Amino acid sequence: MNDLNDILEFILKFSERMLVSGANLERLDDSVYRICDAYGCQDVQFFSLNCYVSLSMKDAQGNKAMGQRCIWSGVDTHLENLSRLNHLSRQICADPPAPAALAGMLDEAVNTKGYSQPMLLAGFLLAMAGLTGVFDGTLGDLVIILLNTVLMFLAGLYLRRLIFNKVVFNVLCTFVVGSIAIGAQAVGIASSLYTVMIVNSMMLIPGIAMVNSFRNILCGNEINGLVEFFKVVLETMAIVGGFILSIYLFGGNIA
Amino acid sequence: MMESVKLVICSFCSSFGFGIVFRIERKYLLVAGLSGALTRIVYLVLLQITPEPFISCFLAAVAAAAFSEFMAVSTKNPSTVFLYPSIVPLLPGGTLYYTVVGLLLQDTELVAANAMPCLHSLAGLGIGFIIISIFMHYRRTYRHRMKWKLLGRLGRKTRV
Repeated sequence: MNDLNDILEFILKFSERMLVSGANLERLDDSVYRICDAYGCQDVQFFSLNCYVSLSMKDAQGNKAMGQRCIWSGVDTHLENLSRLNHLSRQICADPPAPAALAGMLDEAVNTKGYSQPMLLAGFLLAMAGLTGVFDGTLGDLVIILLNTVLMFLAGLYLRRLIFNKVVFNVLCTFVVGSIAIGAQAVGIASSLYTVMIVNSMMLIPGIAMVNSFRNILCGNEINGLVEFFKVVLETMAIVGGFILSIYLFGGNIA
Repeated sequence: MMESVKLVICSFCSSFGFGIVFRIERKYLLVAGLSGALTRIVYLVLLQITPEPFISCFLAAVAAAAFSEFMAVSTKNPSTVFLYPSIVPLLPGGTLYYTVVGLLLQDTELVAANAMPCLHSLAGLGIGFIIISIFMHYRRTYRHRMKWKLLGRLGRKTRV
């Protein structure tokens, strides 16, 4: 019975880590059923949303275990962790370890060094510089875009802890970015508001969540797909709302 | 030609940068950049054949998703690892922006001119990615079930 509880506890924590790292639901379902199979669990019932997982199962003696977990932290895409969790699930399926050892293996798998904050900022700057080229921006546009990128990165680091609501955070960020872009255009540094706003909004637009929501709907996870889709629409409207607010207040040549 | 080369290099940089942002393992960063460049090349070639954004985006998305699945199978990683950075160069930012500008200025002509190409591009991208991933999802499920059926015939208790 203790073994079954260890497996249950591990799977719930594993699911949470997978979802927070950016896994899609089909991948998670697949991994969970494989792990349960590897331990000979029977009558496995697993249900998952991006913010909730629940699992019930029986062992060979008919003992039953059931648990659920709410995931409040939201997705913080970490593809290295996702990869390591995927490898962990493969390792467990190939040669199931003692259930008591599972918790330690999970901690070890997600204990990655990862990138430092300056490296992440460098990644954002490189991505934004590349997109400026794609949208045919000038050198002045690039300077303002990179300045806005640094501000948004710092806001994400420090302000996000105070403002939990992503919609409010997006409105605030794009309002500041839009206002700076309008100011830069007025003094002649930036030549196109269009380029600055589009490129900077790429930092916040939940494009991946949008693709995943469509994928969920078509793969049979309609509830999660619809919830995610409306969340994406709301967040995108907030991004546009911040820009619109800055344009209404300060003007600027937007077309 | 020079414009196309510039676009491919910029797409490489943006996908490489987003690879860091999404915290891909260091050894796959170059692959992330290449997937963005590849997607852009396919998109540019298709634009020469057809000006229809839906078809160009759809086929470029199919190419990106197929490449991601290929890399996923060969490195035994989730396809998401390679798919996310490759999406970035295809997002139709320009038409989306002008659609919103049109709504803001109540300029119905601007909205009409940009909303449909934007929706076509988004639909093309979404369907392209989804077709490949659904195909792979059902392929995995089918193989998994066949394996368990086989083991069931050999006398093991199974979930299926």
